[in-house]
Amino acid sequence: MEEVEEKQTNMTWKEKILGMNKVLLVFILIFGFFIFALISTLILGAMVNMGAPLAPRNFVQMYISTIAEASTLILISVGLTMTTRIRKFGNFSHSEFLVVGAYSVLAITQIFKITNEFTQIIFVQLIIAFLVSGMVGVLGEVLIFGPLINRNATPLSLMVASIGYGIIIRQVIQEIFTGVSQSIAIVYPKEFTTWTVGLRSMPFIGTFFKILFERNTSVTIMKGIEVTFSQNHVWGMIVMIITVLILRYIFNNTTLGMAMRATSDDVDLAEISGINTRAVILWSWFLAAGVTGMGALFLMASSEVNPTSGFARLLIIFAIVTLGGFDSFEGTLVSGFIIVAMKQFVSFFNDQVATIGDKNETVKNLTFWSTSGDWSNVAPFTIIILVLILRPRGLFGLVDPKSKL
Amino acid sequence: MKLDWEYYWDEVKKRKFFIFGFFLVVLLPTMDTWIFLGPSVRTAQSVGIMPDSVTTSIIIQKAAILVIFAVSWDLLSGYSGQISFGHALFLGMGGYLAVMIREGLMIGDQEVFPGMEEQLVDIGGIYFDLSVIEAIILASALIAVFALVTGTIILRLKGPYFALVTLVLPLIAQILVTKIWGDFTGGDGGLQITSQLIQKPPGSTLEGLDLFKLQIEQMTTVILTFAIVCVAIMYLLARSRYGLVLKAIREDEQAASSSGINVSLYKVSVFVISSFFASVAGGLLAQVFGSSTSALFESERSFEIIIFSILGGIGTILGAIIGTFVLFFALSYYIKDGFVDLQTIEVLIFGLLLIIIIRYQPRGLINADPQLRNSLFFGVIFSFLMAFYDTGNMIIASTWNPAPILQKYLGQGERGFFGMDLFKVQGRMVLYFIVGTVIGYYGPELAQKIRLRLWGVWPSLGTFDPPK
Repeated sequence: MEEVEEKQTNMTWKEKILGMNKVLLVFILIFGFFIFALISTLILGAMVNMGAPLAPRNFVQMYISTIAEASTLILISVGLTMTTRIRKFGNFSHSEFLVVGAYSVLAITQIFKITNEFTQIIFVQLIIAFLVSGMVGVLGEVLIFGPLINRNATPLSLMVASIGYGIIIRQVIQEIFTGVSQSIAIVYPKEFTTWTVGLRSMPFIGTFFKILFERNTSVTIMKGIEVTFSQNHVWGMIVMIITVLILRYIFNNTTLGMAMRATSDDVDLAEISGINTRAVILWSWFLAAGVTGMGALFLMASSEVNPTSGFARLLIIFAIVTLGGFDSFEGTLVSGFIIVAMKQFVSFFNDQVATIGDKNETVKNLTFWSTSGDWSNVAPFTIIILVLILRPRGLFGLVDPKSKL
Repeated sequence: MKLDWEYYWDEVKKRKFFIFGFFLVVLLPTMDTWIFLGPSVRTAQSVGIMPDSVTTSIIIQKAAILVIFAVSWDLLSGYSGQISFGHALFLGMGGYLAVMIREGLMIGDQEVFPGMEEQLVDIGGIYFDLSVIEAIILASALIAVFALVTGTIILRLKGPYFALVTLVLPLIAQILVTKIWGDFTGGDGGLQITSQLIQKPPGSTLEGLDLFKLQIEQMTTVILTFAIVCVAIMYLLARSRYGLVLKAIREDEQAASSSGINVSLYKVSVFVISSFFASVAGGLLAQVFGSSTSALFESERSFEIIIFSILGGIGTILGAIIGTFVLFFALSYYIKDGFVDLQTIEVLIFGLLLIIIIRYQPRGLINADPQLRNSLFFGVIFSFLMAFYDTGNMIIASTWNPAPILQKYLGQGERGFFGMDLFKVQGRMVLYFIVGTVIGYYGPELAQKIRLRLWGVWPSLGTFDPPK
């Protein structure tokens, strides 16, 4: 007992860092990456001495697109953290909840032939996506994962079963909607009253409203630096922040959250203490899958959706969750930013090398393989491997690496 | 090594109906030149209830290669318990490297290394290029060295962590091959093969289709020989003390370690052996397709053999063989671009079967309890086989009622199997029900509507709505 107490009092630097304000940590990490990108590019440029090494690319725009992309990715990854935490296996059918969410929105207009604009309003769509994909998540638990865990299945056979469940969901969707790519129409709310129009002229709030209610808004931040805010991105960010706050509240401050934490620590103990673990597990599947389905709207709104578009994103979700630690909420938040920033940085660096390679023959010969290709998709995968080998519990994970996960 | 032939014979005898019945059904279409069976096989082929021999041969080739691949996965994952989700890494590497070594590697105008020279040999009337086989084995040996390096690093991870890393590796390889090293891997088009494994015999007068048929048959022989040798080596390994140690590691790593077994040595060695055979499969697959493309790296390849092996029975070499052969044949109608297409509705059955097996028979069909094996196994397999036999080719007769033929196949006995499947009759989907014998089939209109309810409980009372 004494040793434990000692450990609690003597905080190591790691614990101090983890105790820091998480938001500050996120910003330090993001800015760190971009400063690194800038410096390395400048060094590269100086080395080659070729005039203008910087490709015409706006750094502030890069920050914003990173944050926007990271927001949607975090929104679709937190669900996996929740299910992993409570069920102790990596759910490979998680990415199918994305497709379910996106297609449930399409289904409302296609199957039930409601052409009313009402179904295209973002709030209605979010609720539909949440409910339908949440139900699909619960269905998987009731039909497949629950019975398997009752029979003491290993995490690995659960993973294989989840691959099977993923195949089933994908095929059913493909059969109903065919494999053709379709686009989701989202109608963002108009300004509610006329008085907000008057606010437009105000310096900060006006810009904020403009970003919120117009499709694309250009804002001049500094002299010569103009940034375009996409409405889709901004709403994605807002929904992500609200969702994560609500989930945090549920996890930390409600009875359900307490029961969830207890169940994830030890199912048997929780059951002995009078927690209805079955209901808790079903609720967490519902929340996890539902949030993922919601995230799909923002992810698919910029591109088209087809039945395999979820599976294509499975690995980036796993990259985020692995880096953050399989069971950590904060870890998912931070690692979402890190991975997207890494991706952006690598593609930026790639462009730089390509630009220099166009002018300089030596660089071109040296890097014949990197200028022609896109390394940015390799980056997250490399992160998964490095993290798993060097630190299997991720940045913030609490799971003992020797445990069964 | 002492071989316990009695044991093997018992193993075979226990499953004699599967093995001989299945191989008879599978190999029958290729026997159209035999003296006794030939005429009846040819008649069946001309009527259209049996696929022609070339189609069957090509499917047998692919199935045999996948058997090597699946068994190599089973040796690693089934025996030593290190579940790999990305065995396709070695399949793809084997394919690319074997072609590169044989054809030589050029980057731009610069020659990195020259290709191998043609060495024609004649063994038993089969003229083949020995250098292709040498290239495949050399490439596999190189990949085994690569596996030794990667294995020592990633085998420190356990269970799901190892599975995740192996899942990611082939995807990195795929991106590298298509997007980054496109200069010498051919990008999306892949590396084309210019030197054929099977050559035209000197002095042969065969031309056109006859030559093609002969070459296909010889290719099948070579690949089957490869498959038998590879699988036999792995089977003997698995049956020997080595396999026993692997099983001990799978059951309890700490107990194995405390009884004096060098666990990491065994794990790395099985990783290396498994990667060697997987690369052999990759090299052969590239020969069959005529090119090695990045499709070899796709995670579907890995999932496919995992499903095959788990259905057949994980941790049993025989299970992997039977599972692969049966399901590959069963799904061969749904094959696209040389692989089972995991994007079609029929693959839904795959997913459902996988879950049913994991749920009720975690040890696989080969080890299932006899009652279930006799009903489910026969029902599913036979309905799949029927699908293969009836849909792989056109049906000539315009007013053709498939029920008698199915009854002839299945018999009127009281065998307790059931099965349902969608068949294509005259280009239209028809849903059949088989419970011991055909009890009903639905026409295309209804089959289209109820495709999704395929696996629901469906009372079938007779034949109605026959195909027009």
